Amino acid sequence: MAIFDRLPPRKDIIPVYAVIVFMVYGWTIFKFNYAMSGWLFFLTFGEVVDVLTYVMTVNFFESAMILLGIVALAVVLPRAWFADAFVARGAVLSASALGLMMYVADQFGEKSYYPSEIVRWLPAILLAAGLFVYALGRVQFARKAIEFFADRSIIFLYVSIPVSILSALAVLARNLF
Amino acid sequence: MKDLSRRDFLKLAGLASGALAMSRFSPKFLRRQSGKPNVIVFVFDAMSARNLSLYGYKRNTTPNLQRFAERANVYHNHHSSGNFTTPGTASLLTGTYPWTHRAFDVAGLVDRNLTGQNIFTAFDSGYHRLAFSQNLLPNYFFGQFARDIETILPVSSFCRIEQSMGETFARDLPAANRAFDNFLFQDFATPASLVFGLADRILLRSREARTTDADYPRGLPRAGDQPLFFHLAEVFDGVERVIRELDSDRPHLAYLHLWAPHAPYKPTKDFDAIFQDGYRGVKKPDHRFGDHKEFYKLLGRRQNYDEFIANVDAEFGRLIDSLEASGTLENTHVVITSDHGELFERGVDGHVTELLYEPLTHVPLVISSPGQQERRDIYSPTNSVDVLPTLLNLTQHPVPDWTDGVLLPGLGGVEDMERSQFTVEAKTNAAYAPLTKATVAMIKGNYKLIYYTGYEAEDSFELYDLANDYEELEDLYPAQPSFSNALKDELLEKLDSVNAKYRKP
Repeated sequence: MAIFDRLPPRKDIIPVYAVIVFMVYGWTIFKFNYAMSGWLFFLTFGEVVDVLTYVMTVNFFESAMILLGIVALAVVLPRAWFADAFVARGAVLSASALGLMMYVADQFGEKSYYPSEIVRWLPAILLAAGLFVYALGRVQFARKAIEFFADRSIIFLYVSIPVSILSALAVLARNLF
Repeated sequence: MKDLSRRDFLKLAGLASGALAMSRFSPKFLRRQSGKPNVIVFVFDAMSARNLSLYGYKRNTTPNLQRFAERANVYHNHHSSGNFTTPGTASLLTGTYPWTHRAFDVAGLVDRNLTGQNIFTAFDSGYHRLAFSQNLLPNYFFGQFARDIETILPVSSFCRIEQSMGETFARDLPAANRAFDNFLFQDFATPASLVFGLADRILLRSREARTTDADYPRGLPRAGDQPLFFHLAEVFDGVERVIRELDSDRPHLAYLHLWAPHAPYKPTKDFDAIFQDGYRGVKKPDHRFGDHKEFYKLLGRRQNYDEFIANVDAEFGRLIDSLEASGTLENTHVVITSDHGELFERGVDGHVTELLYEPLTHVPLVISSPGQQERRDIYSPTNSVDVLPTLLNLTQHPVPDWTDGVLLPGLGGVEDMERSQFTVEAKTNAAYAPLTKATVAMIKGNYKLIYYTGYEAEDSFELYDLANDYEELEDLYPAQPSFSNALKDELLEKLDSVNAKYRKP
């Protein structure tokens, strides 16, 4: 029971999830638009939508997984380190982690077969990000600003969640029947 | 037994005679009665006829294929309908030119209205139809034709390392393959899935780094950008096993599309560096559509390619010996061909190009029929669209009227030197629009006309005499205006007719 008591309140989880959704879905949708320009040369609209259903479903699970990680941190770490400013610290930690992933993914793409330099520095980068997140939560102005932006990001959830649920149902239907 | 009554005896006798009568209609009996032969089509991806000693190449790349050809029909002037996998394979499978099947974009699909017109459908359910491709692109077609294919082997079959996510969704392969393997987890560019895609790539790289094989000094061969690494011998062993297991109830059609010798060229240590012979071939000027790759680098690439071909040939020899020993070949037509070739000249490395020179389009075609004991060489022009009608004819199926191909000479058809046949490259042209940005090659007799349209302000042509100018060095187009114009008119007329359907009224 004590564990559940340590969970951040739902009103705090939602803006953090919104930031995650913005970054995870944003990355994929950007790539999707690029790929779609080629697909439209030879796929029908329906076939593009079929692909999109898989993409949205994967994005949903990705974003949920990141959120679970952030919430787990809030449960595990001392309150003063993370949970006390969950929205600000959660949002910044998500954005930093996903930003780092974007950088690594970009390096992995066409610049390097295996970006060993980044991988070598990864522990140091993660430590620095952790300290940054902790410090940011203690600066009132920064905290308020981040909470403001996280709160505004909630609007993306009104689109992403229904579309993802419909997509997951479509994927299920296409693979079951 | 002593309790067996007369009534029981009559029942048993009735059952036994019924069972005996039914057994005469078992599939095995039906096959024996019909006498229909099996068909195995081997497609070696990116195998150019110009690099095979079977066709006179200076390096001894294919001694085993030559041995096999001693009892087969060898087509010396066979061309693919496309210069990369999608159009080349679609033409093989549908017996139609790219302007009919419309699969000429990378990862494109056959016209949705024509999905019932393919080799699997045409070989009715009297045949067990199996499809396997190590290249993802033909798997999109298998997805379209799935209704008429009993067995589709996963693209990752026989691989040492495989991480193809799309295959998890076997009921919805085309969309899942495109979503996962061609987009979210793609390895030819930045992954579109930020979390799972990145994790997938890190996992793949670490698995690759941990998997070393003493047989492969340059690392395991990989199926291009797909997350598939394989040992060539294991792939051939797997294919042999599949063929052996098929050989039971019904006659079968097996379409087996193997990645090698497609790049990356990674032969085993027995074939690595076997062609360090100083062979340079003919140096040709860079083409304006080429990538301006340096000549000496292209020489090295061609050497690696030739070594990989020799490696494939050795494995092929082993496979054929094994099939022969097991008696599989006694009732089987075996087809050896490719979907396109490879170019190491004019500044181009590979086959991602607008060009349609012979190394890219001239592909092998060797067909061995049951009981054939001698080699037959056929020199008239043939095309990959001819394979489908020929195989149907050989297996006593009706030849459909929707195919663009004709029966191959020596296998029901006659040699026709004046027949026009085509190769189309249009990967940047929309599939359902007229061909306005494309390269089209027309071969008629010994001549080859190449037409470039939509790339530059003005369309252009090249004409080569393939009989007297094997290397396509002397462009006859300006020098022979009347002959050039006659060919040009024929080609433009053909294009006009195939484009008519896609023009807006």
